[in-house]
Order: sequence, then C-alpha cells, then structure tokens
Amino acid sequence: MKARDNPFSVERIHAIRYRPLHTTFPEILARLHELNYRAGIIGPEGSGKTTLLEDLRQDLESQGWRTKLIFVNDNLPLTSAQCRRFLCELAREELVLLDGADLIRRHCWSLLKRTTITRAAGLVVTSHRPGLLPTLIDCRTTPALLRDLVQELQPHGRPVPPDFLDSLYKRHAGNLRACLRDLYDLYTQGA
Amino acid sequence: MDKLSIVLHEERTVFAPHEMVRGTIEWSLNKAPLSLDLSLFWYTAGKGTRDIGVAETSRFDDPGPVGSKDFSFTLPQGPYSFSGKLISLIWAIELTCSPGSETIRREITLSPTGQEIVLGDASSRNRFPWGQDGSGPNPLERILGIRK
Amino acid sequence: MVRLDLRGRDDNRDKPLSVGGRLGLLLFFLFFFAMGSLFEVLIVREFGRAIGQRLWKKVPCRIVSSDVQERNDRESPYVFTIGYQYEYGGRSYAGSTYKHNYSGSGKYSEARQLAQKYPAGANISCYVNPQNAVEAVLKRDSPLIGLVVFFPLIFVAVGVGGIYLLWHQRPAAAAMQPMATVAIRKGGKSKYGKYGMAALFALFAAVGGGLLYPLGIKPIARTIDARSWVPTPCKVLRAEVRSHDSDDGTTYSVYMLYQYEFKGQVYKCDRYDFIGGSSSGYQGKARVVEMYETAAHPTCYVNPDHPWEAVLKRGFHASLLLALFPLPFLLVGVCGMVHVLRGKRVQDNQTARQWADRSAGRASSDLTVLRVTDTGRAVLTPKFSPKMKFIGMTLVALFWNGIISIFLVGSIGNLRQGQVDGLGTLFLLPFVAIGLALIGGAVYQFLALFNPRPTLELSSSVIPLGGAAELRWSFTGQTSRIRELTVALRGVEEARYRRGTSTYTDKNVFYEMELYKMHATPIRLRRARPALSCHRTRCTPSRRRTTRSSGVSMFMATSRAGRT
Repeated sequence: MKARDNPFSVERIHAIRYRPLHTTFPEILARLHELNYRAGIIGPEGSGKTTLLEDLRQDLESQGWRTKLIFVNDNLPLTSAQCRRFLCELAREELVLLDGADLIRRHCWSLLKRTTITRAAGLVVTSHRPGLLPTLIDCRTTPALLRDLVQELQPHGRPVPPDFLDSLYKRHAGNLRACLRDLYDLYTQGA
Repeated sequence: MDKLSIVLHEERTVFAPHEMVRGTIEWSLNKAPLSLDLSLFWYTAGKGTRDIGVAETSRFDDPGPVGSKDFSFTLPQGPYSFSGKLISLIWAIELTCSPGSETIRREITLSPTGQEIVLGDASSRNRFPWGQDGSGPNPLERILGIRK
Repeated sequence: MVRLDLRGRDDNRDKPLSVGGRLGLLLFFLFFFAMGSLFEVLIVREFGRAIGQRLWKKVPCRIVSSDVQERNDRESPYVFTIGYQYEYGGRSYAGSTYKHNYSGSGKYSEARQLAQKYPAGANISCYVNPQNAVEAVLKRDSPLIGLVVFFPLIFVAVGVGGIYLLWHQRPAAAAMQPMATVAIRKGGKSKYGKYGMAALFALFAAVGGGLLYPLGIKPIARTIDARSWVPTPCKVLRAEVRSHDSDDGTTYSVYMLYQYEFKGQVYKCDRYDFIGGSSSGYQGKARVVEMYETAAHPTCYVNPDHPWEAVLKRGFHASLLLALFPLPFLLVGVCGMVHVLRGKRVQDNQTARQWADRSAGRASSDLTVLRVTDTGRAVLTPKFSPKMKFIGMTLVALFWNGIISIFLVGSIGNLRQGQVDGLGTLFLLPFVAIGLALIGGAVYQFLALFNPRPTLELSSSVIPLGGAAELRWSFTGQTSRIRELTVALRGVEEARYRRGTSTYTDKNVFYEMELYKMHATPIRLRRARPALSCHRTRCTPSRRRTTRSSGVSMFMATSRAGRT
C-alpha cells in the first residue's frame, strides 16, 4: 500500500476534527469567553489537545479574531530570544495560541503570561498538566472514541475488529495518536 | 459562483526532469481578487508531518474577476514523485486567489520513468501482533487482504 | 574476527525490573533517605542552636585571665582558658566559656592566637543567655551552617524519589513489532537535563575554587613571603608524629612545638610548614621528627613583622604539590559548565526553527533536496574518532576512580584492622561498581584503537535514476584483523512526525543489496581497494533489481525530503 493511500495517513487523521466528550463546541467557546480568553487545554499525550487548539483557532478566526500560533516540542524549543521577539511583534488584538506550554522554560512562560495580559487579546495554551492557566477543558479519550475515529477512517469492507481496537487502546493507555500510528503500520502490511 | 481551473496542455500530467509544464489557468470570481498565485511545489503525505517544497511561484496582480492566462514552469531535476510505505512525494500545481480561500490544485508526476516511482520493501516477513489460533486464515489477514 | 556494523541500533523495548533489582534499588534509596535525614536533623539542630544564640544579649565584660594551658589529650592538648566578668540584670557574674563546644586545639599556635586576641585586662563584649544569665560566651556559633541545611535534603529527595518511582513504575508495554517499520521515539528531552548537568559541574567548580585558596594560593603566597623571614635558632620542645583516624582511614602529620627568642622576647610556635594537613605514609614523617629531635641546632624562620609567626620548613618542596589538588575539580567544573551550556546554545541555534504560523503551502524552497550543484564527492567516515573516545573514557575513569579510591583505600584499611563499617562499605559499593565499569570501558576503547577503520568515498552524493556512481573504500588500522568484509547498499525511507511533546521518526528499509562480500582466511588489505561501479542501466520495473543500486541512492535522497 502506498503511503498516500493509507487510510491512517497523517493528512487524513489531521482532517478529523476534535470530538468533545460530555460537552459541545459552542459550550467550549462559551467557557473560553467566560475565562476572558485566557485558558488552558489539558490532557495526556494523544488526547487531542493540539487538534482542539487548531479547531478553536479556525472557529475564532471565522469569528474575526486574529490569532498567533506557537508550536513547541522537544525538537522545536522556544528560546528566550524568540519569545522576546514574538512578544515585540505581538499586536494587542491578537490572540496567542501556544501548543506545548509546559515545555517552555519557566522564565519564558512567566514573560509570556505576564505580557499577554496587557499586550494581547488572550492566551490559550495546551499542557499535560493543569495549573498554568484556568482549565478550559480536560481532554480525555475513550475506547468508543477510538472506534468512532477508526470507523471514519478505515476503508469500506475492511473494518478493524473492535476487540482489537480495545486492546490497542489499552496497550497505549488511551493515547489515540499512538493507536492510529499503529493502525497505519497495520495497513501497510495490506499492500 | 467562484470558479478556478488549471488546464494542462494536452492534458499531460507526467513529466521528466527539466521538462516544461505548460497550461492555462482560468478564473471566474464574484469579486475581483487582488492577485492570483500560481505555484509549482511538492508535498509529502503518509506517516510523517507534511513537508512542502515550493519550486516556483508566479503572481498575477489585478487579474480582474474573470480571465485566463497561459503559464509555463520548467521542472527541476527532482525530487521525483515516489511512493513508499511511509512517504509519498507528490508534485502539484496550485492556484490561489487572495484575498480569499479559493484554491485549486492539479497533481502531476515528475519522474524519468514515466510513472511514479514505487519503493519496494526489503522485509520479507509477515507477522501480526495479535494471536492466531492456527485454525484457519486469520480473520484480520483476510480482512486486510494480506497475501501469504 | 572484526565485525564492522555501522548501522544504527534501534531498540525501543522496555524491560521491567527484576525482583532482585527492585530490592537492591530499594535498599539503595532507603540508605540515601536515612543518611540524608540523619544529617539534616544534625544540621538543623546546630543551626537552631546558632540562631538561638543570636538572641542572646550583648553585654560589656572584662577579661580577668587569659592563657594557654597544656593537658594530657592526644587530640587537643592545648586549651585556651579564659576568665571574664560581666553584669546582667543588676547582678555580677563570672564566665569562663570562650565558645559553645570549644574543646581546645591540637596546635599551640591556634590556642595562642586566641590568647592574644583576648588578653587579660581587656574590656570586650560577651553574649549572655537571657533565660539563664549564668550562661555566657565570648563568641557565638556561626549561623552559616544554615547554608548547608538544604544539602542533606538532596539525599532525602533522591531516596524518596527513587522509592516512589520504584513503586510507581508502569509495566512495560508489550513489544509490538510492526512489520515494515521500526519506530524510533525521540522522547521529550528534559529541559532540566542541561541545567542539571551545568549545576553538577558548577558544584565541582565551587569545590575546586573553595579549596584552591586554603590549599593552593595561601600556602604558596606564604611560602614566597617566607623567603624574607629571619633564620633563628630554636629549641624543639615537642616532636611527634600524630595520627588522625577518620572514615577515610588513618593519616599522619608532623607536629613540632618549638621555642625561639627574637629581639629579646621568647616565643613558642608549632608551625612545621605552610601546607599543614595530614596524609598517609608514616615512615617519612617519623624520619622528619627524628631529624629534628636529634638536631643539635635546629633553625626556624621568623616573620620579622609578626615575630610570633615562624616556620620550620620553608621554600618550595614536594608537599606543596598538594596545592594543585583543587585544580582538576576547578577545571572540570568550569570546562564542563561551558561545554554543557555552550553546547545547549549551539544546539538551540541548530534546531531552532520558525515557531510562527505553520499554515500549509508556504514553506521555503530550501526543503528541496536535489540541487544541480550538489554533485560533489561524498566521504563517509565514522562519526567519532576512536582516539577521542579512548581519551574521553580514560579521563572520566581516572577522575572517578581517583576520587573513589580515596574512600576505598580507607575502607580497606579499616577492614584490615578489623573495623567493619557496614553502612559505609555498602554506600561505597555502587560507586566502586561504576568505577570498575569505567575502567572496563577505557580498556575496551583502548583495544578498539587497533581496530580497522573504514572510509567510504562515493563519487557523487547525488545519483539520478539510471545514473552511475563509483564507490571506493579504504581501511586504516590493523586491517589484518579483518576476517569478513561486507559492503552493502541500503535504501531507507524516513518519516518524521512532530506532534505533541515528542518527535517520532519511523524508518523503513525498502532496499538492501550486498555490493561486496569477502571472507575466509586472514587478508591484508591495502589502503585503497579497487572501486566497485554500479551498473548503468535504465530503471524499468522488470529490471529493477539490477539497477536498484544506482536508482536507490536517488530514492534515499528524495526520501529525506520527508524529514525536516
């Protein structure tokens, strides 16, 4: 199977929007408004935090907001110089979206948090742990969610057995990203 | 209704390195855009984060709400269009108008062989991570159409 | 047989700890916790007492008597005795305590210094306990001990943290073997790792710097100063080799008390040299003592500006080499800090990418891999030189074992004398094990110096489909040790996925071909081998196997386009 034809390719997975559990997207947006657009999306790895952040960004931009996205991970750190430059270029009407807030250095975080109070329209972050900002939503996954996602992605006539999905979910402790990556490998065998 | 199109000369979509891609772009928009951007680029699809490489870009300022224009690009030496198990590299020509989000894309193939290069697989093993009771073909193997 | 395998080893399996391993680690961490807690209690108690003394009232007092007395005590034969009077709350009191826990000194000069500082008849201040006015001291305990109050907590934290992690270790995930790919997870690097290392090196530098003055700069400065001191005949009152027992073992020092007359006044002094301290080796010191005991007219050197200061042995001598002892600590600490922090900045510069909006479609064109001009020769050599590996490993082993050997020698000495220090020995064991492993590593790297080392040279780093390239290889080192040589061409697809905390890199070997294989009897290889050329044919599906050697190289180049 070619990479582009794999039903679990990254592009197909990234095309799926965030599916909130026990709440709705309008409720999430309403809560964000209540929190004055300073909030944190928390959750373990592979629980959809980045996906939700990107969805929020699309919705906010469609509402007329201007946003600035910062993505941080182990290979893309945010240095002090970059942080300062970013804050210098920030406009007051812009909403800052920071993916990976718990990965940036403490003094960068303090600077960002402090500066965005007066020099930005808001700050929404993703983090593995609570406490950085008021919690907007705690992203959690369920085996049923994995089954739903796979049902949407898998090709017709070649479904993955639900019990296998449940064992996959358990093996990866709810990390949907890892589950979907394993399914990608599984489907490469079916070439 | 907004409409963009890219028509390739002789409907040819497979090219060798250094060949010229010719075609015509056509647009019919409700509102005249400030500019139209036509790009020749490649992108990856598969298991990794998407990567993009823009080979060439042409910009047409004040094109008006309706029109057409011929274009030509000279393709570079590479990279070739290919598909492996992890990555597919796809060449495309994309037309975008700004402001706005109207976009149209046409995929092409850049390869000296006349078709997309397909990478093989050095591994000859065929294993599954879940158990097999040995009583017959594993249902998952059958489902996934895996041949032994 | 020398087997060269320059392929990376990717093994991502988690192995759970065995019961024995857990138990061993539990004991290890419990020990850390216990020792840390004990020291913490002791330090906090002393600190509390020192702070308590800060609340004592300062009152004027008059020194009635001040003298140095000698008593029958091997450790501290010289005692500074003092008597003073003070008034508090309308009543008169007499005090005789210089300082809490003062128990005399092993050196006459120290006690004499105090007597000079507090001469009889002087009016000074003393500190009175307001709760019990009978209790008074001339000098309060220093609260500086509070600076180290947190130090034992490190051991406590290590102990608690280790025990916690042991109990909460997640069971290892069952190893899954995807067929076509090997996933290499680049775990999220701790952002504290670099700073932690820098802090460790800073500690080394602090220790080295802290010891440099008393052990290095001060003795050398005084040695230079003593060149102008006046040679004066003296009489040796007491000469002996003193032994000092500690956890490190028994060490010895020369102690001599001598008397001299300078400008009509008689002085006593007990400084032998400017280094001081004690060390192992009894015989040498015994010879020194005997020499001075039997000397007819021993000479000391007196400081003309401060006649109470004198020394028996002046000038540069071997013992002053001890002044160099703190230097390795200081050098390692400073160099380590610079390397770690500078390496971090360099890495940040190299890996720092645009954090800005990553909307698709407008990446820069420098992601294009194949460039027309990029057709130069490619030389492939091993990443790290074996010499550097050997030097590095040897330095680390020397440094580590140099420190551990001090404690180890002491422990062995104690064991020989029948003094069993169970806890101390147990504490030392892991460090000794690490030291042995480092020695083993150094030996291994030394042996590896003699291994043959390959260099591959490809005529072009970019090989278009259907094109040809020439591969040459050569060996340095002991090529006669080669029993089997395999040169293989491998095509690897590599996809990097960045999302969330970690970056995942997946690899798929899509092609592997043995280009050259040779084995059997020992061979002698010359420096340059005949080149092997790949075939030049067109790449068609049916003949893909025969042409893949050249086509695949191009594939390798384009696959890397998927990697950022």
